[in-house]
Amino acid sequence: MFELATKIVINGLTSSLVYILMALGFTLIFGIMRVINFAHGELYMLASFLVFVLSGLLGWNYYLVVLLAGVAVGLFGALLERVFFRPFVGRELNGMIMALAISITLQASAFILFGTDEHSVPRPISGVFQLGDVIVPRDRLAVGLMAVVILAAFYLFMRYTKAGLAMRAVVQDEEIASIYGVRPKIIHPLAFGLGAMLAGFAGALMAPIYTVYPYMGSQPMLKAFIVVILGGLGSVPGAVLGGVVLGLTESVFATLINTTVATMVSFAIVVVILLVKPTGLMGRSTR
Amino acid sequence: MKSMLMKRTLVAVLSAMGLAWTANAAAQTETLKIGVVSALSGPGSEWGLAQDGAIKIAAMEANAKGGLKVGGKTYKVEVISYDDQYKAAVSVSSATRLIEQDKVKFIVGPMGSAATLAVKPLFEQNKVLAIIGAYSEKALDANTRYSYRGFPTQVEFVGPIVQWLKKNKPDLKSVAQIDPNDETGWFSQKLLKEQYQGAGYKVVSSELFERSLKDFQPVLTRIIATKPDIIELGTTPPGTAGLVIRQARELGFKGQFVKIGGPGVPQIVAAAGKEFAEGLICYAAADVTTANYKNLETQYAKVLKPPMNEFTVYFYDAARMLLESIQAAGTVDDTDKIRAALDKATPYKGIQGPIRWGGMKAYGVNHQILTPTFIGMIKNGEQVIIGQME
Amino acid sequence: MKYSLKFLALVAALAVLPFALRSPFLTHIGVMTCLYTALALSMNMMLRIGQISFAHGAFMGLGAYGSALLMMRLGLPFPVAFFGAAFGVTLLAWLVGLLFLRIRGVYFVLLTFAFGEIIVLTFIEWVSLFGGSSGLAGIPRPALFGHEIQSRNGFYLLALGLAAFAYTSVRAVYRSELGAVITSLDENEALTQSLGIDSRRYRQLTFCFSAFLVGMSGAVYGHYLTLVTPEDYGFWVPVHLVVINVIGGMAHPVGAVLGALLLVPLPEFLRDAKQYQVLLYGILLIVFLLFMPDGLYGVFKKFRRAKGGAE
Repeated sequence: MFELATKIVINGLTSSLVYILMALGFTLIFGIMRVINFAHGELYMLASFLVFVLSGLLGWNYYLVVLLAGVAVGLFGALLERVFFRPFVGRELNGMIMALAISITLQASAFILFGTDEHSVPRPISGVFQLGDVIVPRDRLAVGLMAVVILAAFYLFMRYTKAGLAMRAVVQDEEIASIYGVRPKIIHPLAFGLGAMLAGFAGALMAPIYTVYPYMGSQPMLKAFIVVILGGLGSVPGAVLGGVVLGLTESVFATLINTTVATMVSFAIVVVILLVKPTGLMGRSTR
Repeated sequence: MKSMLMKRTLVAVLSAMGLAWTANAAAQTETLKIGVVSALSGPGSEWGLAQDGAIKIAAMEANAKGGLKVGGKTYKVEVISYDDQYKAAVSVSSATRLIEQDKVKFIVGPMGSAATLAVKPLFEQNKVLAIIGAYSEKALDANTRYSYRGFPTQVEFVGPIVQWLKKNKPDLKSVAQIDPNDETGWFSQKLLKEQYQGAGYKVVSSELFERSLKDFQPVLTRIIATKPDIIELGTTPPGTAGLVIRQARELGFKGQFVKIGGPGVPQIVAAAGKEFAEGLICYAAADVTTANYKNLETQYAKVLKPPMNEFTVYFYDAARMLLESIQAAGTVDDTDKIRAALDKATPYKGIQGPIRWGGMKAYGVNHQILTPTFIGMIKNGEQVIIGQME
Repeated sequence: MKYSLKFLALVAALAVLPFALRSPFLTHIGVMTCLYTALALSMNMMLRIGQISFAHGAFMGLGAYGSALLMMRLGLPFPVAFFGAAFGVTLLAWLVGLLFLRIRGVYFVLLTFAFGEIIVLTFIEWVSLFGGSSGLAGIPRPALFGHEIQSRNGFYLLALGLAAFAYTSVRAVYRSELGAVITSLDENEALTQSLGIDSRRYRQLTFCFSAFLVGMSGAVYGHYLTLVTPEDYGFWVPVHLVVINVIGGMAHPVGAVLGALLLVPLPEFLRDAKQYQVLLYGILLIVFLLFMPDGLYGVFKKFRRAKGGAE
């Protein structure tokens, strides 16, 4: 019984870390630009495909490729903001629809380039790590550790750099922040790029774990969306808390009943939160 | 100026007419259209592409001989393929389009059980002769007139394989099952459970998963807690089966994997990794080391992207039988005559050995192909044949 | 008076069309276009009050499953099953609306999205009632006044009737006082409320009528395909409906019609190049969002105004 519980907790936490990476990017983009980035899953997918092509097909060093993929997708995100999202500043619903359009276009492009086949990326690490009775796959552990490093870096960036401070100010109140000289023209692409980069890292890290295919981004985006609602749209600590709660809840329900029920429960939680406290567990009412 | 233009136009038109007339006179060839509706993309497409590839190879070979000669005329065989993505609703609309718009009288597919059950009424109503897939036993019954199943199903081979297991691996006693949560998976699980229990095994767990699932840790944690000796993968698509194998091993499962269901060793090995896939015992549709098989692979590479799935062997034989039956009946439209010829086409020399129609006892109609089947094991990333059944 | 005559003449001409063209394929496109027109009009109403409902796909599914089940399990005749399902969906919308409609903007979108997904997951999970991921097959044909609708043309007439009903009712609502209130709900709710109008009741009404249209469309869709599967009613349905409205133009109900006329036949004609079709769809949407935010209707209006001005 204890063994089962430990397994459930470990499964849950390893999933949580990836959810948190996705959720952070998503919540940053929403917090600063008020855009529900429906294309967030496709940014994850793009990075995965980059890993597949560069590491899987061309044989480059995996860790180098992860770094490259994250940065590349981040730059791509900044580009997206400049070209496609800038006209919709302030118009939430239109921005959301534009994100949907980009999502559709990216998925279709990936399909045309790569087909719907599920590609396997060779694993940089394999085997298991055994601690007493508890068994954890090494590659998941590695993903978890790298995710923690990225999260730590993100936290330090937000806390101690000028840009990070500016972004936090914008999340709180854009008008007042602009009085203090924070310019949206710089902050918005920076935020979108940073958010995209986090999604990119998540995708690159997860590429060898399952398989790579054009529609792989839908699930992670869904999880990001649930985590962010739970934790509060625009709240960074909320994203972390939400990620942990979702990962553990899902693991419990999925192991004890099945995955479909686990997903239903997570959506039910979303409904309840949106009805009772739409700003989430840790969000503050902004506008 | 104007008259020059008019003259030129007149010459052009007359030449075109002349060319068309001569071209028409020379070309007595008409087209015989054969439709394909199956999963050509996504999970399960390994098997759908086997159907598509098989008929395309047969068509290519017939056309290479100058066309199919039927009743005094020569026909160019044309294959029209639609991807149903393993979704029943898409199968219905694709089949409808093939029948109403493209006006085909012959269809290869679908592969999925739910899809086949959904389109069968269309086939019977429109007298469309179909070479179907589908593991579900409901696909064939006493009222089926125009559908023929081109490959053996678990009903045909699960018994012998379980017996082989019992004899050759006597220390394995308990089985946990995992299958996709759809028509194909439900049928497979029920049948395999009966057969395993009948042979004296204890079935400790029977799990179903949504086709799109990738993270099997929760369900595998549940399965492993029941301490099975065997994990039976059933009709799980090969790529997904590889993921299951890898994740199970990473969760500490050290037992035997068995797959008495659709084959696809290359994808299983790619997703699971050579090390984890080692030792898997599976139903094998073909002996991939024979010359005939390798020949077929070369042909396949001319029509579709490799690797070729083993099922292609079955549908290739079925496709050839179909074309030959059309010739024997002397008509490309009268599907009643053609199916009469098809019924009489066996015993037939398939590329792996003799095959024949059977299945009266199991289904009420002799539209099930009976063929040699094999038991395979994955050794060092490749499939090795360890047993054979007639 | 003149308008209704023109409208009736148009509908009559459309009704005769399939008999003249005799192409099952084109008639099929006609059925789909009519159904999506009705669906897009229902979404147009939600867009008008600024609350995009992503549960509409699930409502459509409930209409389809509902009508099918009422006929198959309870043996009810088609008109009873059809309206039973449609009213069932309306009732659900009313109940849900009580809780959900006070949430606005993107939160409402997310809320209805989550709710819709729960319903679709129930379709998959509750196998004994809904048939699981394989859904329900062999759905019986609708029978009206003793006459069974079996042919494609018959379904076309049914769908056309539904689309005509949807268009006339939505247009009538918009042109009435009711419509004025509804329009003001998005733009200036405070002002409306200060006039003593209970905005919540009007939102409820809109949501319920919208759901009613969706339920009916779903029922016809299910009977037409003779097959209902859960994945047909997920998140992509409301997305598609929003896109149709954006491209057609949200300002006037004819925009929904224009959008459906452009977007519904597109995938059918591009069937051979399926993924290029989706790519084109995405690109088209981006282009319209950036350069033609008022949609096709907006373009036509500008064109007419320009022509009028030049003369």
